[in-house]
Amino acid sequence: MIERHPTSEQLLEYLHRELPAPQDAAVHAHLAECASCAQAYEAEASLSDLLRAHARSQERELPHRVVMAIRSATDRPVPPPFWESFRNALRPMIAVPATAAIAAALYFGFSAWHSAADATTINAAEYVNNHAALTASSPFSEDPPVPAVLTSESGNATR
Amino acid sequence: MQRGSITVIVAALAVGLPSTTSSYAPSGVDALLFAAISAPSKISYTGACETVRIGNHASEASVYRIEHRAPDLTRRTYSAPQALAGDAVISKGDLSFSIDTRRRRVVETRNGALDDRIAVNDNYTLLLANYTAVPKPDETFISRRVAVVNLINKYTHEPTMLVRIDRETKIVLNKQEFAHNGSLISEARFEEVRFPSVIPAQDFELPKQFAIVRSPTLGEPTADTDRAVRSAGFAARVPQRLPEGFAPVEGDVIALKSVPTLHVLYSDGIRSVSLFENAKASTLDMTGLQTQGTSVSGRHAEYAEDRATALLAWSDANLHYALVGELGMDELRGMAAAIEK
Repeated sequence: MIERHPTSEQLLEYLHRELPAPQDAAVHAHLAECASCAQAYEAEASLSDLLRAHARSQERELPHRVVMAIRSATDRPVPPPFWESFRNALRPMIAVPATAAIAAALYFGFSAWHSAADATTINAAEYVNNHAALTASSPFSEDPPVPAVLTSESGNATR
Repeated sequence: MQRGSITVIVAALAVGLPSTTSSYAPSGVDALLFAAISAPSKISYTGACETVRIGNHASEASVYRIEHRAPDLTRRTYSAPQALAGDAVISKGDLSFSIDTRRRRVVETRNGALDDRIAVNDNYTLLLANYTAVPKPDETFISRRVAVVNLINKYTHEPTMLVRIDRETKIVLNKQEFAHNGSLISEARFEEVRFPSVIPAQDFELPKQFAIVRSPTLGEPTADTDRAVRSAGFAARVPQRLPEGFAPVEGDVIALKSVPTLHVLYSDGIRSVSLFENAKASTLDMTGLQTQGTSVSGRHAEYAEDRATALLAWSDANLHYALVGELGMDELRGMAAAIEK
């Protein structure tokens, strides 16, 4: 299961099957275990259904001439270009390492982004203040010359 | 030195330290030190004080009037630095009230460590175990006869602290702390002192027109540091080796910006260092500090100093660490490396 909750964009892409396979699998596994994300996914899915239904109700027939023109264009056989044939021949050689590379990039990119996005910033002064508080039990200890609580921007102990 | 060692030292001292310091009766210069530590709980005084803490990059100093009514009621009214002029801190036991005249409010802070007699005893035991108290000839200081005691570190043989103790009342009138190279780190001194028989209660009253703001409680530690480590909520790691004479004395799991953070305090009786450790993704804001890059067991680390307090921060694959205390960079790095192994 992925460590963080997927974003709403990722849920939408998952809903529309637009995620790359490794990420798709990760989101799928996450939804199976995370009730809040499953609920968000269901909400997205319901909204999509609602929009689709609304679009269908508003749908209008295209003019017959336009439909015929589209059909004739799509039905016409198009010879594949040379590079397409060449790429098809090489597909297994390219596809396997490419998939691995994409999976690795997604995994590490995902983790790095995850860390940066969820990171909480702790001010070093909080460590110093808490250290000073506990050292009050040391023999001959004394308060720092300038009490942090009177000089900090908030005026409060930073914790 | 581990916590068990403190117990051994206590036993070795034959008397064993009781839960309150009042019934402990050491002799000689140790007795003088013990009397000095206990004196504020018995003696009331007023006076003018100056304190300074000297760092490599920044220092801070203050001047204040002090009124202390035994056993535990104290008011410090600041006249310098300028930003604090007129401000005051009134403390009673583990409660402090910081009177912020600029913001017209009183910030109430509770610090459990202030009332932690067990930790005080442990620290005093460590002090005796790690430092040799060397008496020097008596002097006259602010017109009073004082005993002068040098505290020499038993491992480095360097003087770490010098105290001038009023012969009559045992109140410490001057305290100097030194770095390993002999330079002054901090000093607190009375410029004048009196021992009135009565200090009126109204001297400690809070201004009625100021709002009272409650600040989060600081330091509700347990002396069972192993328990604190176990209750961190993550697989916390602590140093397997400490600087000479140091032992864990207190531990706590605190919430910093809602991040559960293990805090263990190590001390040798005078110097101390705190280990902070958390498992949640967090970044350390060192704004305002002069930082320098270094390494801990091959990992990047940041070192900074806040006046006389040093800070070393680094992360490994799972945890974020910070060591904060009155040690040099090399000692902090050595302690940090002992966590890795």
